[in-house]
Amino acid sequence: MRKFVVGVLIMSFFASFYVFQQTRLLEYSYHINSNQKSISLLVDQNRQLRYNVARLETPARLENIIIAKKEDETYSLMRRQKIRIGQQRPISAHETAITARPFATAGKFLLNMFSLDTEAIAKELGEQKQTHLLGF
Amino acid sequence: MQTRRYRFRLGIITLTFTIILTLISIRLIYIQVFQHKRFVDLANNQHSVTIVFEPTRGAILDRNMRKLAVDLKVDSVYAVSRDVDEKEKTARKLAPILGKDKGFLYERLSRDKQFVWLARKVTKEQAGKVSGLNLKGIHLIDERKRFYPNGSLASQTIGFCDIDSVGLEGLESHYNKYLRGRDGYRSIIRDAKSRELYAFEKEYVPPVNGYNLVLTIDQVIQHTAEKALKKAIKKHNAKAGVAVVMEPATGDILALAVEPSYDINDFQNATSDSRRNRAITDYYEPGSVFKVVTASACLNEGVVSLEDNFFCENGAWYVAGHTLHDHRGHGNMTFREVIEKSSNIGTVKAAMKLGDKALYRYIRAYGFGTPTGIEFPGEIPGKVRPLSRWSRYSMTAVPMGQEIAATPIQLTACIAAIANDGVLMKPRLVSEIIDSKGEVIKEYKPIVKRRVISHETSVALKEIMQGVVERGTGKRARITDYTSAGKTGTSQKVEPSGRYSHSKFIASFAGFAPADEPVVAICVMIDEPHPVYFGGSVSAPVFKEIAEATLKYMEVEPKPKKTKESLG
Repeated sequence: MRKFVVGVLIMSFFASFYVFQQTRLLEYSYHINSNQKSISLLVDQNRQLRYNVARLETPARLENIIIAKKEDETYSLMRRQKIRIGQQRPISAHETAITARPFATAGKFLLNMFSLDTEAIAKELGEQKQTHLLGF
Repeated sequence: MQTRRYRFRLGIITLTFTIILTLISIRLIYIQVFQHKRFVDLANNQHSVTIVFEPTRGAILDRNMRKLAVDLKVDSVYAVSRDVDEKEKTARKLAPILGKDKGFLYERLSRDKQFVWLARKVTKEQAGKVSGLNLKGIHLIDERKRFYPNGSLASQTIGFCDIDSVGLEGLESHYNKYLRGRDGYRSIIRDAKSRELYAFEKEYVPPVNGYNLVLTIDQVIQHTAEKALKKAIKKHNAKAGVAVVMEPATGDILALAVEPSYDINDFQNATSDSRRNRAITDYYEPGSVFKVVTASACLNEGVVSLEDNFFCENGAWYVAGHTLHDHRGHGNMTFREVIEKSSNIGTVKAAMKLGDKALYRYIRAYGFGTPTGIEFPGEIPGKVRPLSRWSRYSMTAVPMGQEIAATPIQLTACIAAIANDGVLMKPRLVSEIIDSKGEVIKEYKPIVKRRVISHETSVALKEIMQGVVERGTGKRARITDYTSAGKTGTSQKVEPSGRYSHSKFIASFAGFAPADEPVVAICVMIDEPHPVYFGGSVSAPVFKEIAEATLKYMEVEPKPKKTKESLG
């Protein structure tokens, strides 16, 4: 009887070990599967990013950016020139008269609203920028 | 009494159990022994699966390893139609997302199959929406798709692939066996939830990714050429155009611009006209550009010298039953001036001194009438009539580029040969095939075809061609900071009736720069420009724009400007 019990116990142990082994194998399989998917995803993301870099570096795109930047710079310089001209504009006798009259502030405000140089007068240039513009 | 009854009952129970166990045993034997194979197959079908791994198609790279074509992962939508319960509802939900007809999807879902495609290679947004619907029996699967970061750049050269990543046109088709790679597969066991159990892997053969193709084309020069060509075609209301930029010393094609072009990412909507690589598959009568071939033959054979005088009949000469005209009347001119001013009469007179046999020999030596051997599908040999079929008139037509047809690539190779001291190189479009680690699998080295003219003739010809740009018909090809040489050409197209058209022309310019030590040879051909149609006015400026930008990009030392002191 004792031999039988020991035999059954040994058998049970090996059976349990086998089941444990199989279960661990399955767990590792799921783990490998998940890792494989992550690797594949990262590799694909890397490829996608490299493709995006290639697309961003195409000569046509870079050229467009340079052209747009040049245009922006040109407009910016044109705007600055306009500001400079606005600052140098002498105050007319009509404006002086308005300033002297009652409600002068309101009148000046209205005049500024409809004047082309309103913005130019409103924004003053710094010392450095003015020097640069004079050079230009 | 009770004992008898008890025994009877026990007997009944024992009999019943015996019968049941016997039946179960019979059934078990039937399943395990007689139906063994069937059930093993069923189980295998359910658990075992062979997954095919599509290889990554090799990239196409420019000479500086910049990507021109790459493979990326995309999703495809498929259905296990047997698992789809509400087929009509599913089709209705998927149709607007996938952009497919509801009836089409319903028909697919109605098939009694394990796997049916619903839409292949969908966008990320579409895949996300399909996934979000969480429909039973509808799944996503990874596939690879070709993307071209530059869109239409070098579209006719690169070509494109079909939905199964098989190259259909251009280099994609020609080098498909290298780019394609080899499928891999893995036989594994799946669990009840269809998850793959890698621990029970039966067999794994990894996919072999395709090799990368390194071209001789430079992305920046290609863009410059395409931009200049496009601008000229628009300006001169032309039908089409070709610009080829070649490195004379190696035969490397640095740019192969063909207009009209198309966006390779959207090749389905491209017209067959825009898909044609006109530089290789179309031929044209070269016109006056061909006079350099005649001139080189005459000089190389020593029948004329640069300072020999020719009377150009004041613009009209009756010969071989026809009157030959110059576009402007000229009297006496040196041979140098004949080519510089592009006189038909002077060129024909020089060719007559040479003779038809020698001229034909040089034409063939330059490679006209035979394919250049460029690694590209569909190259045509052009058209050179055998000498036996030349008419009396041929000797007045061929020397000035009529009765002969050449592809732009042939013409570029010819001009490059003059620039390369008279040595003809085989045009090269692919420099090497490399694997993903950068190891060279196959190398295509520059191939010298033959020496066509001597070094001395080449120097003399360069001088004449520089004169064309400095003083002759190609003044608009003059480059700031560099010297250039070339020849203009304006040829009439042939009408379907066989007569020369008076309204359809090909304006061409072929040349090289810098003139003394050429780095690039460029050929520009513009098809049917109007109202201005002269090669010197239409194509020469394109040459100038391409050459100027290319030389600066290649950091070629500008030639020091000649000062009064240096000129003495």
